[in-house]
Amino acid sequence: MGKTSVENDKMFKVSLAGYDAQEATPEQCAVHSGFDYPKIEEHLEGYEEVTIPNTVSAGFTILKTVNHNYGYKPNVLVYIRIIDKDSALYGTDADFMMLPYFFIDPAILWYDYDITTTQLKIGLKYEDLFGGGDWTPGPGSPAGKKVGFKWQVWVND
Amino acid sequence: MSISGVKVSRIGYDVNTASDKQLAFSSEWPLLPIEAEGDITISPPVGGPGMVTQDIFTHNLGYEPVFYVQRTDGGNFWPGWCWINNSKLWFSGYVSTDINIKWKIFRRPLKTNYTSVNINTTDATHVIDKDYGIYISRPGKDVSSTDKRDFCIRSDVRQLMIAQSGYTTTPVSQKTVTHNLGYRPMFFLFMESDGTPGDYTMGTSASDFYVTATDTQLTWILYTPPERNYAYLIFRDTLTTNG
Repeated sequence: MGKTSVENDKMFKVSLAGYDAQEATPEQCAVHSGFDYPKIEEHLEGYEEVTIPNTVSAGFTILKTVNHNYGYKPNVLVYIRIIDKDSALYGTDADFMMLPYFFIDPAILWYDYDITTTQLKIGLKYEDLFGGGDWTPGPGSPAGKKVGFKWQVWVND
Repeated sequence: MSISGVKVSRIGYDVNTASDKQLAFSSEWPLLPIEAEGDITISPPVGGPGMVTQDIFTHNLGYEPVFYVQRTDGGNFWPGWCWINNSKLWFSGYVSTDINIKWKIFRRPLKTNYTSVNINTTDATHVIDKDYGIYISRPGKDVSSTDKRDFCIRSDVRQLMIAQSGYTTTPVSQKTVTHNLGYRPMFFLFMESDGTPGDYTMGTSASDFYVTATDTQLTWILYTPPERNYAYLIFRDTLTTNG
């Protein structure tokens, strides 16, 4: 793949306010049929709050699975909302972040997602590089804490 | 609000009462046109893990465009490892095993100051609607296709509508922008290199970078110096509901 736009396509063009549709560049259009746009089916967009298990072991702890069944790997957007604040873990100002989001540096613990041809899996990834073992509830640990996820699975691949 | 124009509601919403974010599109505000896209595999250096810098795509738009990258398979990946300038998109990061990345470049300058007006912020009730709506197929594609990828836009799906965008011209450690959408909106943030002006990466989702969204404002803070320039987009879609 590479350039996919067809700038001289003239089937359908709606300019933004203040621009003549005949003369408008693609940047000055609300819609231009020579371009594809991100598209999201209503049932493949959502928000959910989840509580992380009391034990977080090394690997991928899946917290939310979304079935899309597209048969290809689509684009996705995923945001996390920090609900149970923990300044030792996320810092005091963390609120919404786009995934992947790592909050311990070096990145041994981070929120991330995996995309397959049928599912979006959102969760917590942990690489136990320093032999710390499982995470359990307490200050500075994600275990047992609540977070929210906003996701969009695009039609586009 | 302009006197003339076009607005199309998404399926299930009356176009006369649909709120702004319930529309499929409107001539009042832009969408994100895809200029170029693709998939690429980034491999580690010969001999083992290490830093890799590799061009992904030369766009030659003459400006720094909005872009999006995501990992689809393979090793760990941070969007902050992909950079864009006024001619190309490239990868620069530490690779230990193959990383498969999906990328998109949009036909919109990152550095665009734009604020749209709110026309209707009150949500309409969703109803069962059998209307066909509006389908516009992509060049060379049949409008009767059952593959939604063959369409430029469709009124039975959401399009990402841009409510606001902007950029800084003086490096800052934190920034607050007022949006007044009445909900916490989805956003894109981009950060300019401190060493090479004009090189932008996606705002790193890291332990020293925080974003706070309210019904009226979006704030971001980078705790680690140096201060940076930023570009942002705010969408007509919420962070905390199903939209």
